[in-house]
Amino acid sequence: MIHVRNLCFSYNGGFRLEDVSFHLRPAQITALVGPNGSGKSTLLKLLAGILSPTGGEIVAGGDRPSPSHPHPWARRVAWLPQEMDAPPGALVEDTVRLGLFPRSKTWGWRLPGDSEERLARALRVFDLVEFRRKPLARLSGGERRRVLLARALVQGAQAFLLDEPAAHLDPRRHAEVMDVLLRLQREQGILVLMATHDVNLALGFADRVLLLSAGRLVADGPPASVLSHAGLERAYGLPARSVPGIEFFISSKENQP
Amino acid sequence: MRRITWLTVAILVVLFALAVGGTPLHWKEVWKGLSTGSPTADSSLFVMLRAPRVLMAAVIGALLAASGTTLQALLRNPLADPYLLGVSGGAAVGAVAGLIMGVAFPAPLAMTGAAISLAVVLFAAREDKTVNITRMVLAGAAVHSLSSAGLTLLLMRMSGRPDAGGLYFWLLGGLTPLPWNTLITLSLMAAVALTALFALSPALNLLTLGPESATALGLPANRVAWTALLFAAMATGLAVTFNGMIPFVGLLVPHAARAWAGADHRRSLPASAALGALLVVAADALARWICAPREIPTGVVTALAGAPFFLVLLYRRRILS
Repeated sequence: MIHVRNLCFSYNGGFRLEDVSFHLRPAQITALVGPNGSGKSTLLKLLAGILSPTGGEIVAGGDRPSPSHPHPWARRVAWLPQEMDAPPGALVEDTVRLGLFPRSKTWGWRLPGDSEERLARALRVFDLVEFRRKPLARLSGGERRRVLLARALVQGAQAFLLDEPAAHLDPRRHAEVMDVLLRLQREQGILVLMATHDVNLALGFADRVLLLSAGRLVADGPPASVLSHAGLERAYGLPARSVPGIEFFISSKENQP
Repeated sequence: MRRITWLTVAILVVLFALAVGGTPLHWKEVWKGLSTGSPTADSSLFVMLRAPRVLMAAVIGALLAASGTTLQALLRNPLADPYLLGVSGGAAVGAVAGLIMGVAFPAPLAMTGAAISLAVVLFAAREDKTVNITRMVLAGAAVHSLSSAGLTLLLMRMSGRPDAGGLYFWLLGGLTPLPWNTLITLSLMAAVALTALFALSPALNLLTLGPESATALGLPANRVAWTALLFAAMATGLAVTFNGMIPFVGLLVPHAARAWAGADHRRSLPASAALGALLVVAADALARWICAPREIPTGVVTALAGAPFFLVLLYRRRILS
């Protein structure tokens, strides 16, 4: 459970987020929707402990995120950026292994005993065993996203914060990634918060939608009600309409066994 | 098997480096002097000139390569190098200014010069909290030119003084013999810098992902990055104090070390230091051998060998992929 209370954030004088409050529950997939510049990525970075809020607080189980002492928070929360650079020469295995850092001691030199098992399991879950010794630079966008997810799993975090999980993925890869997230949610009670522009993704997979507009939380509720035509029009300033006869392309949650 | 091959190569290089020079060395005489305790001409040459020189070359190589590896990880840029970024130049200005003012031990001034020029380059290359690759290389070139101009100015002021020629030779990376006590002090300081960088190597792994990802994974990224930059500047400053500017070691050796030991800095950083040490020992031996009995500056050898190699790498685009 992550509690966000009266969160404010400003950068260079301009307001980015103002008085945002909500709670995130375990085993829930929440979509964070809103126009460009509405503060989605900023909110994720605040929740990940990368940025410090200028007001309000974020609390989970007595811990608070802190950019100067981020170690304890990193055991709870994993942040998956939209793009991942491939450091020169880095292999898939090297990158996933970095997820062990939050559980390490002595500046990353001492790792807990079950580290290798964790690593092997994460590689299996995300179908990366055969890529283990492959350079990250040679992987496709979808494969890199799976590497990030595997790293988050190794981290042992109970909350995954994803920035645009659908970016650069073809519908098939997209569906695969979402299926794994649904499985993690069901089997391990992982909490997922994903910032997305894809309204269909939010409608198809999320249990709940947070709608941000100009740094304010304007709606919070089930997808069908938040992403109604009226809600979308208010947030994006564009008339929304549905086209009958066109089906949702990727497998939706209702089709899951 | 591979390890044995490398070890053999390393031993042969060191033996070659100990043997070559203006005066040929007779190993029998060296052994006689060392074992009996009554020095012979050859054993004195070995103890007072050759051995300290090889040790110095090894320490310089390790410092430059470790500094290059660290800068490449921190700036997430395979072109980061103490020489290209003008850090060596800044260190040289500090060291020469110190020598002119009559400071006996210019290492702290060299380290300060290195830190200042690194700070200037990073400040100029900053863009939205990250370091822009093009701006970094251009800022490095500017700082390098500025320090070259400063050095020329300082050297012109010195012209006429008896030590000016030696200083110029030192500046080009000519390894001039140092007394053992200075050498040991500098080597101990080098050991501190190298140990610190090695201790930071798991953190360097995280920092290659960028400060945001590193923070999200539990590393206080800013604090650690500044600490590592400080030790990289210290390493460069020390290397320059030893012997002026030796180009391309900090740029090329980290690439070779990554190809050899992988991207994990816990392995690639010590590998880089070892390879750098071996390379500078070999380059210094060649510098004494090519025009024997005259010597050419070691920096000239590394530039002659390194620059074409670097251009080939660029052409094949290996260096940026």
